[in-house]
Amino acid sequence: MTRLPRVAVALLALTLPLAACADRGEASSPADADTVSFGVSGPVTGPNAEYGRLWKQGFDLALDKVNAEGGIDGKKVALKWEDSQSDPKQTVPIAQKFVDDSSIIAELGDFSSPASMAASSVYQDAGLVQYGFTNSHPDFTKGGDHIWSPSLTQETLQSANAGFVAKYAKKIAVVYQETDWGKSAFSLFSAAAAQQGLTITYSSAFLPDSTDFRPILINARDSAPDALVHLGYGPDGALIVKQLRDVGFTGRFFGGQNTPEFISLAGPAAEGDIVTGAFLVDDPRPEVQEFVKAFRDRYGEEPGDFNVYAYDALITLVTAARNGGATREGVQKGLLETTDFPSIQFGTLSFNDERRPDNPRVRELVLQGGKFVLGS
Amino acid sequence: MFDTLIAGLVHGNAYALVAVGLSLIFGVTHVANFAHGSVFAVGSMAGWWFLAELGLPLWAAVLAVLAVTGLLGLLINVLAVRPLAKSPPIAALLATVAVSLVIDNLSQLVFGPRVRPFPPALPTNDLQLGGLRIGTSDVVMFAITIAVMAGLAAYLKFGRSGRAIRATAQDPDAALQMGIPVARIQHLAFVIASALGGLAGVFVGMYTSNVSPTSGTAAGLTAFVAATLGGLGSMVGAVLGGFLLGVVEAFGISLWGDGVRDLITFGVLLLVLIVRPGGLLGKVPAIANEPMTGTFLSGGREIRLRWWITLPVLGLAVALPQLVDRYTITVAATVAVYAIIAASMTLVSGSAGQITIGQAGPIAIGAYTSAILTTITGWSYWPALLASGLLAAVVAGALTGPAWRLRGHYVAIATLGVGSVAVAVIRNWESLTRGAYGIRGIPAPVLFGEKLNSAIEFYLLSLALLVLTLVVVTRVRASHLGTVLAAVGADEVAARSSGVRIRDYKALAYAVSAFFAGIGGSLLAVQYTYIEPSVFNLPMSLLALTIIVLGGLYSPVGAVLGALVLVGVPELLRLAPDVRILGYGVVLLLVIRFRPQGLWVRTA
Repeated sequence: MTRLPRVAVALLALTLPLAACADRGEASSPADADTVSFGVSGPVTGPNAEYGRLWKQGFDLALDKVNAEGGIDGKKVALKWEDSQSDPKQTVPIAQKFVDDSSIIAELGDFSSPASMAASSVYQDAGLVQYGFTNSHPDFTKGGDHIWSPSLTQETLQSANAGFVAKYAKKIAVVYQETDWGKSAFSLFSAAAAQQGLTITYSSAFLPDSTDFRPILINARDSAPDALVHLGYGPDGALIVKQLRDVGFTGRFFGGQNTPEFISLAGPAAEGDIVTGAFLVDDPRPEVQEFVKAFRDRYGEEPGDFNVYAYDALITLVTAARNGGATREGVQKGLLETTDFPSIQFGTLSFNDERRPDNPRVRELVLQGGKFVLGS
Repeated sequence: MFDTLIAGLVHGNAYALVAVGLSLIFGVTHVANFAHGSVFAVGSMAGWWFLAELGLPLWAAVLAVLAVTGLLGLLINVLAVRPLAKSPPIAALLATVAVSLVIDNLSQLVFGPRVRPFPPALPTNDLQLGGLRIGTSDVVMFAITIAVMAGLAAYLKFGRSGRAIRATAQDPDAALQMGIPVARIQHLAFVIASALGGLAGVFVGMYTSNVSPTSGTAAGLTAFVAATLGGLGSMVGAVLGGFLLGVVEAFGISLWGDGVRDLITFGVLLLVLIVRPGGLLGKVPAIANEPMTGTFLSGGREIRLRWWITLPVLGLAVALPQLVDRYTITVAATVAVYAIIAASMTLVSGSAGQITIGQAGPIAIGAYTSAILTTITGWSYWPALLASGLLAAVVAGALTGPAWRLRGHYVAIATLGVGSVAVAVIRNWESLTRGAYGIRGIPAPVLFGEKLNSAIEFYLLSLALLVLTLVVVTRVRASHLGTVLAAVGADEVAARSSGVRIRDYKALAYAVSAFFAGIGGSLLAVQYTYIEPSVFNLPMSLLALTIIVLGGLYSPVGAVLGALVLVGVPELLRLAPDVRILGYGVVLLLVIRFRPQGLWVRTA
């Protein structure tokens, strides 16, 4: 047997994936004249898959509403999902793919700021709007004039947060996630806390995948604060508030997340918890009640912040496209010119020069009897 | 102080319970079972399901979990590990990595991605100890750990099949000749260890109270560190290592905060390995086991590449931007970068026979060097690129220095430690690296006044550097140095007898691979334009290793092929997003199963 067949097989193996990629690239590009699409780059698998699931619930609800209203200028609206696992290695090719797909008029995501920011330059260079609706990293929208986010910057959020905390406590201990998000939250929170006359008795970062917080919580307890402030996500917030009670601290807890997941994980330990937020299940506004009812009917679950973020994000982009035109330039134009986007979170939303929400309303939410209600 | 000690012991107990199972499997089969963490997570999720959803009483739920995870262990051994018994140990290690991908993603499909509250089937905070509330569950868990440790140790020492297990561990061939049913014994070890992993899943689930299908990776890794600290294969050592790690972490975190946890965990690992190369209770074998990369004669030889194949392939690669869309080009550029990283690893892992699972370390050093030099000091890209390679080689080389006196799996684990420590230092050295904030706005390279910022230009740049890497690596392998390295890898004792300073040569081979890892990291920094420490994680190191194992450990060309498959397949599988990573795991498993010697290798 000669060496040739083996080499030929290997060469075939070498070119096959590329050929298949090429085929698929062509298959996805021809635009259906009656449909406009938004690309979603988000975690469908991997450790952040739960957020992808919450997004999808919110998006699908918004999609039904938008299409029932007749879409955008009579064109049906569709989403094109790509799983990034919120991994920067994957968001860059996805960005390239979206940019080359002429049926996509704007992009939504990604979940984490590092994953989004790795892809920003691709979107910016192609003039495709990147709408990073969960990216609160202060630098995210500095990636270019096509990079937008309705996420409140930490500056807004943490100064409000410090204001709420100051109503209940004088001395506080703070724990925060060792991520870009957590660190900027902490530095802005401590600045705002100083202005409010709060004393920070102890602070420590924690890694996002930690499960045992007792060593830092014991230190926090021993520094004798009135309350503990947690700057992080839902699952770690739930662990921290439970272990906080285990080390014998009885003061108030500020933190966690306005999600059903956090409430169920934390259980009674988090009773009285206060978070900054915008969305309330019991908000009497008719559009909120319509959303909550539709959500419960369809999924049999309670909606939380991440469902609302996704829902609002798609509605915002569709509104922009309706106002500016169902093209890439149209979405950008719509975002620049519209000043009254409908929003479950904010009531109405408009953007400032940094492509962030202008004068957003932040509300104090208190966990009572297993659900968040409006604080005093 | 007292409270911190108790907290550390309680947490250490959780590590110990997971570590015992890992150590048992290692002791019997010499396989570092990366799927053990996943089995543990399945135990947690199944326990949650039986208790919270089906409402079973605790004893019934525990029995059911033992049955499920025991069966899972049997399946892992039958389908993934046992068929590779005659292959190099590295193949089995990677098979377990693939299995863990499959299990995690299946579990996520079955149970959903949500983090669930584990029901407190036993009271979890009814006892007061110092200023701390602990639970009956913690006391029961402690009793289980001690009982399991003592029971297993006694069983291995005195029991009939226990003695058979030890005999099998020492020398499977001799055991087989003495009439010990080796296959059955190994099945038994996997069933016992995995059932223990499931049991740990229930009790650690009760202790941490948050459980999710993906919680296994972190738990498995720390348990692995614990087992290594104690000495792989020793039951008492695993428990000791677990408690030691728990207590040291608790005090370290109490002093410096939880942000430095990685640094403490892996720092302790490295220190212990430097002082006691076989772990606290482990023995260093007088004569090394056969190298991890294979028996003394390798399983195959690299296929030689003829010029009349090389030239057309190269031509095709250069012409690729004209043939395919830009998305494919972006993927191809990532393939090229990983091929650079992997091709150079064939020198240390292929030629010199030393497995490294910490390549994310030098990659991160390279990426940060370029990022800092170009954004803060304002260097142009080309000197920064060179500096990235050099600094990665020097720093990673120096950090890894002590590892080369270790043997077998301990080398791999030490490099894993070095990689994690390097990234942890980058995360905590905030004044220089901006820590977790990351570095943004990394500029595109400028060549002859032209900014290389499009997908095509970046692809061509990566391709050029890849060709350069391949030329250098091939030249090194063909040189006298390459022959010496191959001698070190093929038979250390013989090489040393011939006067070769094996440690120095291993270090040199590693430094060369770290240089190119740094170059690869620099390219990644430019491609992403934004980097932060968590990008350079264990999956990145495992990907680099998997690429060369898949391609054939000895073959730089195989590394290119491996990168194409391993970076390309997840993109291909985008057609089926829900099962994408699951499918990737299955493909990986099949390739290892049927071509354990690698793709670009001719069986001898």
